[in-house]
Amino acid sequence: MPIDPVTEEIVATRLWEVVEHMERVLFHGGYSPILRESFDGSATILNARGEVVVGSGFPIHLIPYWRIAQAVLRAYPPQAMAPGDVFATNDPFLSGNFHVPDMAVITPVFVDGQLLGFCASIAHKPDVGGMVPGSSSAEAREAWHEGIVLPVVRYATAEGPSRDLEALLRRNSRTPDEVAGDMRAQIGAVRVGVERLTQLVAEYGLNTLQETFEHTIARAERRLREGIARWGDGVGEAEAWLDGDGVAWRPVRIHVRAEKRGEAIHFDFSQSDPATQGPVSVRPQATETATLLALLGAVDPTIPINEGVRRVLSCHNPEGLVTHAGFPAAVNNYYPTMQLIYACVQSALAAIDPESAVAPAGFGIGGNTFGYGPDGVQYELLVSSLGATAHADGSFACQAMSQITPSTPIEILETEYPVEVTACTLWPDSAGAGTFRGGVGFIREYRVLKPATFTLRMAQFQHPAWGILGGLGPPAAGCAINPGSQREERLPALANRKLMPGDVVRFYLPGGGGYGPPSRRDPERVLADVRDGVVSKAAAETIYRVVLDPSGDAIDWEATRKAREELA
Amino acid sequence: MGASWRVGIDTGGTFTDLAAVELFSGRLYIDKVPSTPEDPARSVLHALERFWAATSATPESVVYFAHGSTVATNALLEGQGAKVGLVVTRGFRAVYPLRAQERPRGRDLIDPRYRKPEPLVPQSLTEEVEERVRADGTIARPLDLASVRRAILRLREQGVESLAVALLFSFRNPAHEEAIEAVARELAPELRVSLSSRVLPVIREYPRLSTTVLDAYVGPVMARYLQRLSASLRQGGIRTGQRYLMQSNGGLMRLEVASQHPNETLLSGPAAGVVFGRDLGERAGLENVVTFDMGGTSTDISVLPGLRIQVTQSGQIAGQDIATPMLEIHTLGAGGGTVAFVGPDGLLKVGPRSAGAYPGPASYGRGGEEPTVTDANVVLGLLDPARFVGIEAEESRRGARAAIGRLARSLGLSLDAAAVGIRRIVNVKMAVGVRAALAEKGADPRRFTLVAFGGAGPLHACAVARQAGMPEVLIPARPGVACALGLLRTDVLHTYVQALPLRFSQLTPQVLLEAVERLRGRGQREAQEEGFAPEVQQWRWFLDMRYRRQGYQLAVPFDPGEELFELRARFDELHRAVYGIAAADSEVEAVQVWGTLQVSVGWRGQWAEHPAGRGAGRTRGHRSVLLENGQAVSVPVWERAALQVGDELVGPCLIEQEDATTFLEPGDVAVVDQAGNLRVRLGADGGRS
Repeated sequence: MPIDPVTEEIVATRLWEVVEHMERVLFHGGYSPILRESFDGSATILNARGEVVVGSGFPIHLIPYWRIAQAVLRAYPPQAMAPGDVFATNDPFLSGNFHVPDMAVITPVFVDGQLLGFCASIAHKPDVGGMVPGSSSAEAREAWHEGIVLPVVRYATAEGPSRDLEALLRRNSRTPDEVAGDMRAQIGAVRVGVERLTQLVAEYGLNTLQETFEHTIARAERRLREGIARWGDGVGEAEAWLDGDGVAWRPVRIHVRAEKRGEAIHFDFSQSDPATQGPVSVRPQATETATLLALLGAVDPTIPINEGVRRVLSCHNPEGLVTHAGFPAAVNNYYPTMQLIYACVQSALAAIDPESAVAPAGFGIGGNTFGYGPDGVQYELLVSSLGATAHADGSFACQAMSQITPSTPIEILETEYPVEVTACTLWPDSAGAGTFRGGVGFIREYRVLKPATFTLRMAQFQHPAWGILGGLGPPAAGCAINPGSQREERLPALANRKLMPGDVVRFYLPGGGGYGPPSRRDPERVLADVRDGVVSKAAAETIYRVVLDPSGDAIDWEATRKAREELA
Repeated sequence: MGASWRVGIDTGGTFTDLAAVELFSGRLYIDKVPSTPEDPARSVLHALERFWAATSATPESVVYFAHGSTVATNALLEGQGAKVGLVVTRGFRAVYPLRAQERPRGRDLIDPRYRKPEPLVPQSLTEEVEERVRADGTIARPLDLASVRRAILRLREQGVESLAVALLFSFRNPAHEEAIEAVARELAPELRVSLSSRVLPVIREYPRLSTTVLDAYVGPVMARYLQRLSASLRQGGIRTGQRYLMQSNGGLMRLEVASQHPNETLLSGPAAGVVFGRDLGERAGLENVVTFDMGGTSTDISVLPGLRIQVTQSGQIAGQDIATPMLEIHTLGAGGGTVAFVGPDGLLKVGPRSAGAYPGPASYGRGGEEPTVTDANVVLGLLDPARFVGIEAEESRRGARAAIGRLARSLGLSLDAAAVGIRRIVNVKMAVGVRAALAEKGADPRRFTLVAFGGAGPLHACAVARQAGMPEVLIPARPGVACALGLLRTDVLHTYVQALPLRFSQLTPQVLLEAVERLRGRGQREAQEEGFAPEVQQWRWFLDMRYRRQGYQLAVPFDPGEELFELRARFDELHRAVYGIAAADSEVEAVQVWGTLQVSVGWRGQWAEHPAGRGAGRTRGHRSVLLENGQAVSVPVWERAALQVGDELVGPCLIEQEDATTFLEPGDVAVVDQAGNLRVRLGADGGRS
């Protein structure tokens, strides 16, 4: 008997409950702050073919699960698996991980000897060895620089984790307790998933579950295809440059051509630059993830990210490119590249369907550290602001593609570290102008009170985001030491410096890109922006063509009309 | 000696409920009148007038008056708060809109069109003043009073009504905030002032700032309302000094002081219901309860392990963050008015959107055409539309059938299958919500009783509890007026919080005791203003602790004077109990100390709710209903008022009363206890197979 739409909705609701339960076990059971606080992890249920059915947690993880599961199935076909086995891998080449700190675990769900599917989890580890603490070094030039790599291994059986593998992993990490503890949390999470799925089978029957799996995937695919079909056929292209790969500050080109016909869309990355020596090239799973998230963002971000969405993906992305690095490339700094691919795909789609288009968010986000020796290490994860749409300004301080973590409060920073936060303020004229403008950018500034080792890991200080359909781009991100003084130094996006007490470090976090010509922006909105101090009077007049009266507090409508006519 | 009445009045979105008990006889009086959102005091007075008319009560005979109000909440939800000016430390105007870089929830996470909630104060009304306090409370830069004067004058010029002041580290040293207040008093005495060092003196600049802004935003609205209400009560002759307002923390405060603490009422709506549920559990001898308050638009769930009310400091309302200590309540978009529709994936969806009170369910005949949970219950025969006000039963049924029929056709289902489907789906969602709330506390559902109330609670409770793995449901005698009844049982409760130096290793018994004494002093001062003698004050102390750099903390109870190592051990123990692990060798942080000051004013007596019916021998007849498996069965319909203590009812059956209908599924057995509650032992499958 085919499943009815009520039962399917109920079983689907219960599957969501299972992955959310897995996620809770993962985040609460984890040992490392990165897992407990940043929620840099995810949990999924896969079908017997290793395809994602339902996933929860950090959204960018959800596409790579398919490649990971295929790697597991190649190494251990179902007949070689036993109930309770937990496989682990962090291999970006043999498996589907973005980079080695992301560890994946996966366990089969057997019901009366039949394979129903898998429960899996990915979580970012604080350290898996390699050249620097945290395993992600700008100096890395090949895979072996980045830490220990587990191909697919049987990490645990029903008896528990393998003593040998746990010992091996611990010995290869600077944070052995946290890594081993987090692995146990991941194992706990997938075991809970198996237990809950087994209960669901008892309640609803194996067939109902299998059918719901297939329907859930098919429905997501249909929603995405129908959304694409609503657009007119067309072609869009976009290109952008990375500042460099850290070896040479020579721009690296990303290019995408999107061709949409009917309910299909094809992405061609073959005109991108060759893979780099430095660790900014990415594996195809990163390109696929960025492409799909940009596509979902344009079509309908409420479509669940599962195998159905992945099936829509059609890519030409040959090996040897910055968008598809081959073994043994260093890939640890994949995130800025992925964000750039995401922005390129967004812009290529804007040419196909302007109405659903979204301008890119500001570039340059990243994680920075101040090491104070015995006084600890202060991590700073900074975000940019979102781009504009056809109907609204971009949101302030919100990361594109997906957001990882809240920032540490100023009052906690100053209480815990020898640092004084000297500014957290808006950056005027940092939003890409447009009929709708991007979210505004902001400035954070720190003064260290003791000697510190400062590591800057940002991106795109030379190549800012852009506007779309006549909108303008925001400025580039930046970082300056002792700004405004004679000792001022502007840093490149990847840098290490020794700081002395009293040194000031200022970060510039840009706003998002604009949508549509700025001269079409509602003058009242421009005035409000001037009052709020986010657009200068000069920019109002030259860029938005809105003339204010001498008080700066009212629009000179006549002069504004003239200024705008001149332009036309 | 004349009669003495205690009165509780709870104002909700649709109805204002009044519950009163006469202290000597235990006689209970209950009433419901329509709310008057445009002037909420009017419905309060209306309910009182009906009370005088229906009983021998007089204003002079009222010895206690407790009120639950949604005035502050509504002002926020409807954007009708005051025009607020914000004063911050120079260089830090981005702290508020940054919102701590908190990540959006759910699918907003990948939505490039995601819109952050608008701050309540625009940048144009945010003023920076020259000053800086260091982490240790010392002054890095003195306050520049000239910059303060300029700021206040500019804000006044722009028509600001209310001022929020939130400077960095003001919780360590409030001198600068207090100096700004003094300048405001001098230059703009008409301005209401909220200082972050007074509203919420805790570490973390953003939640403290956001809470202070909320306080400033709803303060003037609240003050006007309370003024009007107090005047009306006085004119009406209610002279008792015991006049209270319900707070988000599950306790009361004096009506007279409430306008100074408006942020503390913002999430008070469901709080009295939780107090009511705990009280019921205590009287029924239960150990662990989950309160389940299902109304027209939403369901509020609160887990009370060991009957202990759980408090949290991370709340959100209308998209705004609030860190005032409040009851931990999970709200689901599932109520009687919740709308069913075909989702974008082609499946049947229920909620979270609600048709509200207007137009409401299709079966209410107020112009609603969308099918709701209530409509499904009408089609299934579980709700008798003859009880609906202002509509003929037949017409009501037609409305429900038409609405659900349209939905059924678009899904290719029969009318009955669609109605069964709506009920099954909403029950599953609520069961998932209950299980998640339990799991967060590391609690085992098999040891909990679901205490169900609210207009729709008793109709869904058995199905929800069974699916959540709970063995028992308790349905109080008057489920429809739980909050008003809860108000009669509530004590005065004030929460005082003080930040600590963070590193536990740096904490000395001396520092902790000083913090305790400071809070105690403040509490006693306020209690004295409220007229409470020291001997009726009961203090409880908690230390919020966490492992170093953990984002969440646990409240560890302690007695002032205890050794610190004992607290440390207690924290590890608590962490293990809640999260399954502990790290005794990790460094620990002591984030803040807080004290709760309780003054016992709630009524502990027993009201005369003993069922006085003629026994369960008689039914109102039988009705045909559809079970979740789609099977039609004829079930007896009992009149709740006719039940006696000890009566046993076996499901499937319906139990009807004025303010709610209870449905027992097959296998469920209910017994009427001494207090008139229905104690339901749940059967294994409820007729699902």
